[in-house]
Amino acid sequence: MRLFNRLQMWVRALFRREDADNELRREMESHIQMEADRLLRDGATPDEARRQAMAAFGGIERFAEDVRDERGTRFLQDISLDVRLALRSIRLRPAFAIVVALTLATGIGATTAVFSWANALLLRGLPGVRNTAELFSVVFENDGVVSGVSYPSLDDLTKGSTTSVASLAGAGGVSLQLGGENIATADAQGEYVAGDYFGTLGTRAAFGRLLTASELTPPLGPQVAVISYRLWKNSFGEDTTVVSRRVTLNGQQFTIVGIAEKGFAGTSIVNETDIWIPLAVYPAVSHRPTDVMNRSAGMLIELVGRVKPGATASRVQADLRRTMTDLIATYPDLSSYSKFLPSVNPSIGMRVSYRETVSKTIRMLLGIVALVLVIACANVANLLLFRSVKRRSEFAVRRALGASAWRLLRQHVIEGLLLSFLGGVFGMVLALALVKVFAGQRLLAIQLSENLQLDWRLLAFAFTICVANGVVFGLVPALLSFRQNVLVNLRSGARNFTGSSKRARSVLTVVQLATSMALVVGALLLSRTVAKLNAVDIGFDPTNVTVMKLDPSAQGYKSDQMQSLRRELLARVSVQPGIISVSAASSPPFRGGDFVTDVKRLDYDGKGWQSQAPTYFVSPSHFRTIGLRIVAGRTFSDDEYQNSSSDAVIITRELSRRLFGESSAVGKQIFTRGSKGPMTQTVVGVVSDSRAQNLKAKTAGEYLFTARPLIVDRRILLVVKSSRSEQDVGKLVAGIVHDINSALSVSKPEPITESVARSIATEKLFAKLISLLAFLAATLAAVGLYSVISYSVAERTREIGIRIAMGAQESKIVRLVARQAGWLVAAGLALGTGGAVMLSKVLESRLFGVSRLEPAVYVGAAMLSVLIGALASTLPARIAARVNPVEALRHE
Amino acid sequence: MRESNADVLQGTLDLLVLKALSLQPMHGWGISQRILQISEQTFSVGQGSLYPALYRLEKRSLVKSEWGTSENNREAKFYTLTTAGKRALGEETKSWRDFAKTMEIVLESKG
Repeated sequence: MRLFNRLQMWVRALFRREDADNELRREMESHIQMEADRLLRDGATPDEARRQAMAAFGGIERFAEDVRDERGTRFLQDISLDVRLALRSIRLRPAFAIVVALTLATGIGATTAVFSWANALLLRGLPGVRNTAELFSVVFENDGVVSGVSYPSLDDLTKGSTTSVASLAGAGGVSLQLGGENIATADAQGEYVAGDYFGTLGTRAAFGRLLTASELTPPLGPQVAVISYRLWKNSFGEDTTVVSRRVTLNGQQFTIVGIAEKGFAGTSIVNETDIWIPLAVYPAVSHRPTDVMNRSAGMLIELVGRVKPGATASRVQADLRRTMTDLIATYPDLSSYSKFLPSVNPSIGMRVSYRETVSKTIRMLLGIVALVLVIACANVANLLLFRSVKRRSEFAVRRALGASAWRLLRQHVIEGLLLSFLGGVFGMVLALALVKVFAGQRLLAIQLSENLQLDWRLLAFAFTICVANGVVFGLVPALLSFRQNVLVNLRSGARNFTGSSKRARSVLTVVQLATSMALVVGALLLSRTVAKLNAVDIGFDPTNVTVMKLDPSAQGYKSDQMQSLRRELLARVSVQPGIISVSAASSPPFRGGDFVTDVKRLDYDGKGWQSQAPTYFVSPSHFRTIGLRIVAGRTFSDDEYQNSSSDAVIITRELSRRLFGESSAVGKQIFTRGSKGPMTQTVVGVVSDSRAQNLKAKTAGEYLFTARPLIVDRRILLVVKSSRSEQDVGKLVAGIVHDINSALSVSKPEPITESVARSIATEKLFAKLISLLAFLAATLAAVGLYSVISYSVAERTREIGIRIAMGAQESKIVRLVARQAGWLVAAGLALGTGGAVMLSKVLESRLFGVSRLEPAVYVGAAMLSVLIGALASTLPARIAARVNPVEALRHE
Repeated sequence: MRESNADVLQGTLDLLVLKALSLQPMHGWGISQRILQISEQTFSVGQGSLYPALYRLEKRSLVKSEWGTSENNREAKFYTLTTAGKRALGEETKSWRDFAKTMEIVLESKG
């Protein structure tokens, strides 16, 4: 009851302060009236009575204040006063507040954005996969070479390790082309799966059903498929009747039985899967005559499994290895596996080696942003210190007028808090903007979500650090000033800090300058890399070249029909206005060909093969379409093209050099081993060099072009160079296709420039990121240097005043200030160069066409640092030069 | 009114107020008059300083207040001793007496 009473009073006092104050005043007024009444009765005049009553009461305000103290709300009222005071002082010096807030914002924003991004990369879960902690993946690796296992081995491994493994399943990638009635032909990443794949992962179906364990037990394998939610949305417009619909995959008839739950895209972060089919149908869709029941077949099934409760990854590994060793002993065919014993990786999503690459890159980035945060905090500390010096006399006056030390301290803290808060708000805005930059990007081959989320916990963390920083550095100068005599402060406006804190701040500034210089070097190196990659001669001309695909096999086209369709299309498209050249190819330029053919000179007497050449099946006009020059011999003749007995091949100059050295290859015979087995072929021409995908490769690609399909011919890929727009070309080709057979559909035109741009997207994003961080660091360093120089100018006002009074020239004063900045910059440069060399070592693997020690880059970064120094010291120098000696000395 | 040399200590003031209120509920001015009266004009309480004491006592729930009308038809806040206030008056009177007795002994003792 008493507690309640007190609380009630307190609350009333706090929230209804006006009321409480009014009531108190009313009460005191009535008291004075009563006293005056008494005096009147004693015979005083009304005026006299009033005056005496007031005097007897004492100061109303003083007692009212005492009463407020009794109420216990004094503290909060004072705080609100302090906040108002702090706000006023911020309004009075907006530039200071803005610089502090922006500095903090930079630190908070950059850190949070990059942390969020790193989180998204490293900790990204696999959507649609449950209890990932229990899952493991198995690799059969030996010295970087990865092997898979056949289905019978998967089955045996499952049976042999039941003590620790709850379930084991396998999957392997296969490129699929989706087609069918009223379905636009599309390429899709598929996976053939075996064992209880979906059950192991815990994945559910959005509609229909998933593949059952019995469907995934070869040799059984009905032609059924499960598609991803994404594919369902993009290719089928979320039509639920798609379940039980018939489609073609690589020309084979399949029935869609279900749609996997939203987000599920297989077990790899790097490659997202859209279609799942049973392992047993793999030979049919890949057109590779593989016996999936052959224990020693070179099938690449990668294993994923779920541990039994309580089992560890090492126990699973021991079980699997023991089982595998037993299998090798039982089946001599498996002897090669003795080098590829299974290793268990207690996570799925990324290969271990890849995860290491990613985490190394991320650690580096995190290190850099952490540095940016430290720089930002150091800057704010510097600014607050500088500012407190300027305000020391103000505080000394307030102290002398009776403000308590506690009160002044509190005000420092509140100002620090307010500024930090302002910075935090800006920082949040900046972080949100930065996160947008990363959203939906593919970085390090990992697709980031379109709606990449800001990590609020990290934001809170960075925010707390900055606020703590603001409070501490708001407090330190205040505490320091209290140690000194009030009178001394009043008299001199106390300009001196201890020498050690001055040195500390100089060191901070040097570190800032060094960091920014190192980052600028990194940014320049990466920008040069991007420029060089852009300038790489890919050997062909991708401008105005688009690619379109048809899947006639879905409509039952046999290979001879396919050939006549191809001829007809080429003939009809080529005569259209605006079409410069049209050709057919088995896969688009800038992709790595359909498959790799082992190649050697017919009379080669060395061991093995001379080259593994990516192979394309192309029409005679192909080289003209994509701008490859015929440097020797000729292109295919119309007779050779699609003639099933033709042995004509065309090779790139790089392959020619590899096989025949500098002598001419035209007319020579080569021995090849591709998907159709070994054969002898004749080189009819040599084309100029080109590159695909890996722009950083030292040499151009060794490519082999054939005049007839060497794998099952199942799709038509038209490559068109045109002076007309991409859409026009699309409409034109679609019109012709429709005219030939209205059941055929053609994919949307895709410019090859896009795939070229995609190949350097990671480098570009990386360069952008480092440039952004370098810019932030350079800006922060400039602010830091500015605050240190300004501080020292303020400290030396008296000295400068004396110098001016003694007749020092303005230029001399400017030089005095500039010299100090010069020393800091010089030290920063020296340290920064060292840092840059170290950073460049980390970046080396990402660089292309530029040495990590490229002098021009270092000189450029150094010049930028000098420029920063000049900019940051100009204003304080001019302020110093304008010091009025009379005023400066009057401070004494 | 004599000039007071008794600088009324805070705790003492609280006790005086409680004592003044022990007879009947009273408003601030009445309390100040009552203190003068019962102390035989010795304690002149600075009239304003009564109020912090009253608020302190109210916060400790020793008194409670209510607006009313004075004998002269003036609006005034009347303070009443609560049960806790009565108890506190008893306790503090006792401890004050103990204190005074002790002081007496100390001062009477011969050097």
